Amino acid sequence: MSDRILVVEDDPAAAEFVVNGLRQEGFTVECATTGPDALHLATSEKFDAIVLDRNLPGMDGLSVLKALRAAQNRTPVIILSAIAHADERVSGLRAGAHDYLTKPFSFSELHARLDNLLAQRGGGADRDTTLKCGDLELDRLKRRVSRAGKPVDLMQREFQILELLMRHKDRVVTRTMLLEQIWDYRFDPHTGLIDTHISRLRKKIDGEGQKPLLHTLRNIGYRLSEQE
Amino acid sequence: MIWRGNVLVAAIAVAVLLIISACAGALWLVDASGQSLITRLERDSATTELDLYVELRREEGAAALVRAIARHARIAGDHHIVAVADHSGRLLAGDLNTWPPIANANASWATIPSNEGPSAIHAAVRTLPDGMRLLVGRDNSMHQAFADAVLKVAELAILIVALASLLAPGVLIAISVRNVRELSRTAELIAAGQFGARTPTHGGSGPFETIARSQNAMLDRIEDLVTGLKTVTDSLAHDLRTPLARLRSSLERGITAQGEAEKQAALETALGETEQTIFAFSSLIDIARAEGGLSRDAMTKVDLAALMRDVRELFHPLAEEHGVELRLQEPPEEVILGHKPLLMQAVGNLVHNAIKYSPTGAQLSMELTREGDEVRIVVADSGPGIPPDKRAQAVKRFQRLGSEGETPEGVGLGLAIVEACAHLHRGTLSLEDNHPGLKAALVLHA
Repeated sequence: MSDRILVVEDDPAAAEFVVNGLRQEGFTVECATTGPDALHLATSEKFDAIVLDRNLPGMDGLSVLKALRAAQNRTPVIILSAIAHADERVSGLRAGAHDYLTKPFSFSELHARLDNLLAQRGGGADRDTTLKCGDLELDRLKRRVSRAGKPVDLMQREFQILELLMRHKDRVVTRTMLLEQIWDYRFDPHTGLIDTHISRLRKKIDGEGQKPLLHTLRNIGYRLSEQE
Repeated sequence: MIWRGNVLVAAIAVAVLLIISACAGALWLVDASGQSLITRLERDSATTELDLYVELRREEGAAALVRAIARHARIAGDHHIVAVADHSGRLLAGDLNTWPPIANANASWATIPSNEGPSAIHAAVRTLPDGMRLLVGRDNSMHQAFADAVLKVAELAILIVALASLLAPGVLIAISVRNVRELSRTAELIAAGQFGARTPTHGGSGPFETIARSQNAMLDRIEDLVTGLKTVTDSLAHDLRTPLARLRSSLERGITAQGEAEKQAALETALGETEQTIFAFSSLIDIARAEGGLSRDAMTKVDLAALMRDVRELFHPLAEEHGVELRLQEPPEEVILGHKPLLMQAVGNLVHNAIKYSPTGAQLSMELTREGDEVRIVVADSGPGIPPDKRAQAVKRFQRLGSEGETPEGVGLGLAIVEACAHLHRGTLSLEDNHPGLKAALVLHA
């Protein structure tokens, strides 16, 4: 059964964009346009994740989120907001959101984050001490990486990037996710900045004659996968 | 506000009453002391005259005294009263018609009611050993004249106070109304779109001057903001048109393209253009927030040394790709109260600019130093630098230096963000010559 997502967005065009996109990706989607409706739906039905707009008529997104958490509802929530400021982000995360996405965002960014959020539900990848992708292995405790049994020497940052990619194996990790989670950098410097870090990492893990594992999705992000 | 007007009227009425009472009291005092002074002078001079006549009688005889009195009565004015009578009270010479009925035959200063008019006479009387009686006195005219003068002053004072109390509220209100009109005229001009209008000030410290000055200061700030906003809007309208036009043409190319690959390429270009435009918007919002000083309450302790290392580490691969060396002088431990995301962005922008404008093989250096309460973050390159006359222009929004056709990528907001960040931290951004190259210093006050 496909994952059920509740999309709360008062702007019809934006709601349609998100709902249609998610349905095409195979999700079951419900939509609410006001804060009270959202709270009612979220508490009366079971969802796997909620995409919640920050500004809503009737009751704003943060209040909906606080009310949900107060009612012991632990459904993962991604907040959408036109306010990019770090303080807003912090208040969103404090209220119990799992992620915070600034408008305008690309659908692939939302999809990538939602995918990763849903994948974390079991918490499996987070608990494993050894992560694997094909013949690439990463030992989180010994901080060692090997490809086809041969040790790969990585710098600390490269190790962190690879760990993030491996935890999200087969799923897209966007440039902004990398900037936020590795460098705590909250804006897109809009350069080939991240690409340069990725290409260095790629040179070390995808050697000559080896099957490429680290793929670049142009304008979207990166994916570590055995599949093309 | 009506009760305020009533309070004003009541205050003025009380003031008028007080002034009138004070005037009346003062005048009464002046009258009393003046009258007693006149009495003393009259009595002293009359007694002296009397003594002189007694002397004359003793030395030259009764006939000489009578002659002298007659002469005095003839020559001296009405104010002076003299008279001499024999022991039976029959008048021998002088100003009186009959000898007045005085109880004390030797009164030093007796009051004699007058039969010939309203004025009383005050006189010194002496009875000589042979029974002759002498009288030297003064009529009431001096007292009367003084009392008249005091009364005139009183009338004048009351007139002045009455006029003043009638005019004062009017004058006060007129002054207030004039001042309020000046303030409201300024407000009306502003409302009509003349943002340069200001209320004239004269350097005083009165309440209206204070209001005018704070109104002007407020208007200056608003004008700055409006000008800033206008510049941003104008620049946006101008500069976002280009990427939007390119976006449009890419999309059109995508629609009309025949091959799948061509469509895909056009869409990817369009996506890139869109990101560029969104980036410009976000940067402008960052600048506006920093310049508005809104984020000051969001300041936290920022480890600048760690921040410098992070930025260096983030940009190091990009620098290598450009064939330039990015060096960081081992920074001293420096923790300031600041806005970490913006500081990181500012330092990142300086480093990014240095990388962008440097030729292959160049060396870039990042340095963190402290001088007194100034923390300097310096990013120096050995690139073409910026000529001194273009440095001010370089920090303006949407400025990309370099000749046509060889302008590096970017939207031209990098240095504007750095300057806004400096502004937020009450610091400055200075662009200096690195002989050769550019030395950009973000100076913060810790």
